[in-house]
Amino acid sequence: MGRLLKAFWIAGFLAIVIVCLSVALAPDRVRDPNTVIYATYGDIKDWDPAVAFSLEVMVLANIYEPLVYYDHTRKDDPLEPALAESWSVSEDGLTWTFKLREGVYFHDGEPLTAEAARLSLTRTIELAKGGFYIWDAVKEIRAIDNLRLEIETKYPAPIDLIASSQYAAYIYSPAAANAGTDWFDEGNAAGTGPYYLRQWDRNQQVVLERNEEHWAGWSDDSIDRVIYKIVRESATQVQLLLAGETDFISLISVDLVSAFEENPDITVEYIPSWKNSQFLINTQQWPTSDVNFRRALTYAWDYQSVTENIYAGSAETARGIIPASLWGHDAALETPGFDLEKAQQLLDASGVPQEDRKISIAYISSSEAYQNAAELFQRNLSKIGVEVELRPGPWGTIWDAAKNPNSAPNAISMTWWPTYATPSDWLTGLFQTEEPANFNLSYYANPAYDELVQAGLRLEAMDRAAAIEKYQAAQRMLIKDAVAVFYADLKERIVHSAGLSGVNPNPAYNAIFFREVRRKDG
Amino acid sequence: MVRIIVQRVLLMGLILIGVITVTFFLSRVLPGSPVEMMLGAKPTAEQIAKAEEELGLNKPLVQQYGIFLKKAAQGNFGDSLITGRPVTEDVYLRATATLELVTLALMLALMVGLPLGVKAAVKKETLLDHSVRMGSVAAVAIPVFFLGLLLQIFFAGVLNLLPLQGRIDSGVLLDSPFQRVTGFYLIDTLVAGEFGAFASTVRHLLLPVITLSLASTASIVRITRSTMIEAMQQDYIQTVRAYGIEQTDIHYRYALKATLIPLLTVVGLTYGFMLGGSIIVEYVFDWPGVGGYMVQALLNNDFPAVIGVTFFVAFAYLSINLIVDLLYHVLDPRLRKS
Amino acid sequence: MSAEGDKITFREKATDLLKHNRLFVVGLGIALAFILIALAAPLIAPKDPLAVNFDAKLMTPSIEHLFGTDVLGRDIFSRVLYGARTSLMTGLLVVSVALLIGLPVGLMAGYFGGRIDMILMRVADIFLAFPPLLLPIAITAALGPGLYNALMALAISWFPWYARIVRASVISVKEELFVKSSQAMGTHPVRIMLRHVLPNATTPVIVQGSMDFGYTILAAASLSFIGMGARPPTIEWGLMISNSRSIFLEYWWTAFFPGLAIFILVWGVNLLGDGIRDLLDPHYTDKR
Repeated sequence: MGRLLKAFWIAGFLAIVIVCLSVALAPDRVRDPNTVIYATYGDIKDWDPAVAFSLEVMVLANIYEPLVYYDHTRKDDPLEPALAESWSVSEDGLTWTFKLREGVYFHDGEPLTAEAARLSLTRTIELAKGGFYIWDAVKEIRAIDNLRLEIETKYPAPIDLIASSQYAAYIYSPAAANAGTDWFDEGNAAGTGPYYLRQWDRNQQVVLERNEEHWAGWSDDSIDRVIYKIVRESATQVQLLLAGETDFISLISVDLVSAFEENPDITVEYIPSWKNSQFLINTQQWPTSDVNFRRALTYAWDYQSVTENIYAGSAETARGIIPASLWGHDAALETPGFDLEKAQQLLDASGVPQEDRKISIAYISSSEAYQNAAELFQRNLSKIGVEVELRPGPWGTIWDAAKNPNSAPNAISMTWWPTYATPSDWLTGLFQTEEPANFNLSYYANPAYDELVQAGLRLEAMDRAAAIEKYQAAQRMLIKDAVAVFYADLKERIVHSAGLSGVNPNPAYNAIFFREVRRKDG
Repeated sequence: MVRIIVQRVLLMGLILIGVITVTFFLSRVLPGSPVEMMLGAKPTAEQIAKAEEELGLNKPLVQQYGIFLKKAAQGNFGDSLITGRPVTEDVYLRATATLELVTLALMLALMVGLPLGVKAAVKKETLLDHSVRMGSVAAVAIPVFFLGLLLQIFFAGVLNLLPLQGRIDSGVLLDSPFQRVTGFYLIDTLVAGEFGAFASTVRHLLLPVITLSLASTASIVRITRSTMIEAMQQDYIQTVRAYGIEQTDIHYRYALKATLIPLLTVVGLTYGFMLGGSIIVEYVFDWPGVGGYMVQALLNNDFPAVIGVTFFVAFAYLSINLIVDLLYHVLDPRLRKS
Repeated sequence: MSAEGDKITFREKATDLLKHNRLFVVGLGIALAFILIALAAPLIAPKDPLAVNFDAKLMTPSIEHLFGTDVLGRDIFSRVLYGARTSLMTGLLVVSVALLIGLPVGLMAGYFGGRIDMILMRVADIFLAFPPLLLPIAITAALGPGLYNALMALAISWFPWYARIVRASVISVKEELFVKSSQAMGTHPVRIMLRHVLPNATTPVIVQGSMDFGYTILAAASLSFIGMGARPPTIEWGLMISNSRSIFLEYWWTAFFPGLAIFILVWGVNLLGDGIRDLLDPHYTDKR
């Protein structure tokens, strides 16, 4: 009878057997102790270190090295040698000389020479991609001899600080430089770093393997292999961590952190970072063009609830735009606090009639923190008669809308960090007069402010104390004009399995340096 | 027959041109400029302007459309702004992941749905029939994303039996690499003789396949049941029955045959339904297929990717329906004459 | 059922349905209950669904909070009750807008035939060439994420089905004597369509609409789930689940109850739809 039917049952039976076997034969999850897995939420786009300007640095920082490292733990003298053994600057502050380390080789076997470094940096600058603009001051780069590199600038600039940047400052092999961006983007790399790129399986994983030849040497218990596994969903990342299938996760809901802090298998570390979050207030658009109205907004923000409940330990309430973790921070700055009565008074003092008290707030929709903070703000403002329209969206969309004066919202979320270690990055990037607007989404245009910031910038390399004074005066202006709700200095939160030590996050680099990581016994 | 095929293929080509036209203009009016995602964290205004020029975004839209059509005709959909690679390459890599998921889900739906539908029809108005009917209405009502979450909570969270996400274990992927010949991991791992990788693939497929197939299984049960009941009342079945042919034989050999044509329609529609549903399933299970790619592309204004992936999905959907249409003509002699 | 269906009157069938088709009664009950909940939400909800309370965040279900609380300490039970409003409105709006577009298109295509028919139906074909969900997602992205945009997108991608149904029933009556004679008497085509053709299309349209109602609720919730539909402070079940996406394994109730609500509502609506179909159109075959 029905051969079809028989085939059908056999196929079904086979399928069930296969499924049962596969489930039963699942390998025990014993992992190689010298392999570390990091769950990342996005794949690598730009493998070219001259182009990379996004989350790629988490991988690239282990493959490539800059001339100089920034170490935030060394208070007054934060710069330490990387590929450059030593460096100096001429009296006039215009010529910098870097003496390179001897006997260093790139992963492709090429030796590190001053010429190789020159080629790298010049290519990066000429390509004009990514963060190349940090080198704006550079006039010429020369290889004086085999190991000495000279950088001449147009005006005094902190080239050593700039050379420690995580963007646009990595030194790569001359062969790779000649092969070009297309070669890199095939999933190739040739740096001098402690790990080399072994496998890139698109949309799935990146595997790094230990570079035995690394100049700093290795100890026996170092990590041999690093796997970056692409896991886009935070819920999934959390489960992988709980199951011991990953050592690090890059996304975690704030609400789970407290549960994790009590879990002995998981370590949650907080490290001050240079990132901070604010809502930029549009100073040109009605009704936020009214300064008292804007000031009312800054008093209607529940700073304490936001940092304590919404950020739950991963942020401190901000004092001004320069974070407490970086030089130039002003602890004495007077900033607004949560005070609805005062906000109401300011509203009434403003020239905004009752019926116009409506504002729009844009924020990145994928961020729970923004979302919750914005909803809380919406609630509080409704108590004093300000109606809020929320406009969540992906960054590309809300940013574009905000850059166009006709579609700009009254306020927009912003998280900022410096491209290299300078407070001027915020002051110029976010609030310096800009036409058309790029990141100055407050549309703030104040010549007196611009002058202060520029003056500070010129002083930075030679007289830091004088520069800080200028920056403090500039910050006071920002507070007076209520150009933003400055609300959170973020902390870097690193969540990893408790079996690891040596996880030393550094605010200057959005990466874990796996060379320092060890797996504890047991 | 040849004339019909030619006619249908031509029509399909026309519809596809319509589809990419609609998508082109839809994606180009997406709010926000597409280049910002492509330039990284903090691009300067000059970098943005330069990128827009390179992409030809400052030309009039109609002119852009012309350039796009010309390139598309040569199979070039441009580079994705997010991944920086040709869209065709991206879609090819991810399409196989989606097709593997959808094909298996369709097979599962048929393997469970057909016998269940036949049984329910044969045992009409019994407890079995009632529960099958009630179950099928319920199955259609469960939101796909909710079902996925429930399965994750139970099988991955509580029992810790099946993986939560992905296509394959990362360790397996590194230690037993296999050639991606077909892109179907089930086949590729078997061909390479990597049984560990094969088992890992099966484990990863289970939950997404079940999630995707449940609603369609219910549809198939319903349609099988109702057409079977109709067929069994036909004269010829009654006649066959009078000859004393075995019951199962009647059900599967004669009656089921009559349900084939309506069933074909359902398979075609189910296939499309699953292609749509896979967007959600891929989102829930972090499956590296075209659905996730599409959502990511839309959210980030990656218009070349949006157009490319829509073209692919519409093409797959229309092709299946074309095949279904042609099968009609083969199976139904009445249609063949006209 | 279909064999003897033709001779029985509508009223007899309706009574029969209520008496013997228990599933239909269940569906009717569920639908009525949800309508009641939606209307009376402000009266029966124990808490303000929007009230943030950090001291009560992520509480397990208890007498105080029947379904627990969410990340912001909002009462999930109250939110689920309010969510019924959004979902019922979703179904109603999408089906009626789709009908509003599909009806004239179908009428014109069917009545005039020829080139108009060809063009309209090819356009409809383009819309139908997108697998379900894909087109609404794309349109929503273009319009900008938001509940109303999502609903419009669903309606736009859904109208060809109605256009097709209407067109089919128009064609079936076009050649009838009473239509021909009206035409001969020089009656205005719009009048003919409204007087003679439209009533004939009502039954299949109602059947289709009642079958689609549940589907559109699911689709809208799916759009909200992937972040393309409703946004706060709108209370929507799919959005609630989406917001608990990263914590549902630890705090299951944040996703479970909204999901259950969608399931029960859609299940009820589908049972009801099945019943209506049996009542009006015994020969209907399942489309999906």
